[in-house]
Amino acid sequence: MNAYNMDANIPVIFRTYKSREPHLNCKIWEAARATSATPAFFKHIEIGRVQPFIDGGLGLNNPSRVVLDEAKRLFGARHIGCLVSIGTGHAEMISIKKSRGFHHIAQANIFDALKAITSDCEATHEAMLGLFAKLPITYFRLNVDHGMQGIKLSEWERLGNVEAHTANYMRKNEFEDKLASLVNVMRVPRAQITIEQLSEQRCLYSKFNIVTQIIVYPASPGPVHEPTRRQTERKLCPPPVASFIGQNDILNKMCTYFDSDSMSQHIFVLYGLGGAGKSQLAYKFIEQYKSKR
Amino acid sequence: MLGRLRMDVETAIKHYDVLAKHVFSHPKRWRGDGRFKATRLEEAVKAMVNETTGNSESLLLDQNEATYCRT
Repeated sequence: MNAYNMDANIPVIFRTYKSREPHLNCKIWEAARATSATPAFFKHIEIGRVQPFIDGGLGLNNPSRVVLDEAKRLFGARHIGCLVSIGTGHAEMISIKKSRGFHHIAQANIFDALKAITSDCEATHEAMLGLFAKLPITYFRLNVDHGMQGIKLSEWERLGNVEAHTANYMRKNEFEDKLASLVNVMRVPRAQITIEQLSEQRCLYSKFNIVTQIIVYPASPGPVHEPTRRQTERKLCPPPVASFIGQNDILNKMCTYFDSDSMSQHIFVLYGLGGAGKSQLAYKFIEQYKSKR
Repeated sequence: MLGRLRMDVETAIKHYDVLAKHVFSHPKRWRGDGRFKATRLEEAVKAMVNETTGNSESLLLDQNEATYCRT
């Protein structure tokens, strides 16, 4: 839930819980009004010391980034379980028929505003895909892909159609697979990286990718549920390219190192220029090491 | 609705139907400040909050510390 403060143009988060940030002491209905004050639909609202609010729809209709930042502030040191983003249908869903004549100008404004909203949603989705590219089965975007075209935002009489299209989307095979893995992740959270590490990664992506760090868990006799978890994690590691050749000295070094004490976590740093083959070397090692056991 | 008001999904959908009908079935004739009347939206939300919490002016901050859902 977020809205923009019109003067400062920064998002304001309405929270139902206490946090370290200053809290707006507002009522439920005020928050509801502020977060639905899309300019073309409702007028803005003033809360507290006369701060006009407009809905975040203008620039933040997909609040994934804001949620991640908030989660970092609240639970930064915890492992990230999953991020589920639910959309309101695909781009054309919020299309409005342009009418001729008297209301034409007002309608055109609404149309442009809504177009901006949808493109913003997709851009954020793309950014999230990039951020979670190396963390499989963590980011989920659920969004009815088609059928919603032509249903106007305010057509409450057609909520039945919306329901039907949604049910249709949920019956698709790819959706069922997605839902199954989502339920799985929620029931058995996998410890991958913490939220803080994820946001550091966000910074790292923009710099040169010089150091690749790999962490390999020793296959020690642990609690019963652990081996299965590790097996699935290993399955997710891609194989090296077929033409991989050489590097035996480093592979042997890694092997000796990871074998040295099987009871603790090991970190082995591979460094080199971009394109030197760090990732391939790591994949090769994992492949070899796996088959050794 | 799901978070602060702790509705289950079915109740939330029911309330949304009522709310959408109340708000969107009366577009404004003169669209100076948005197409729909904000007062109708306020009425509908207040009625819903009153029905759920017993007070239409309930605060957004949840006083129950054992709260499950942060929204």
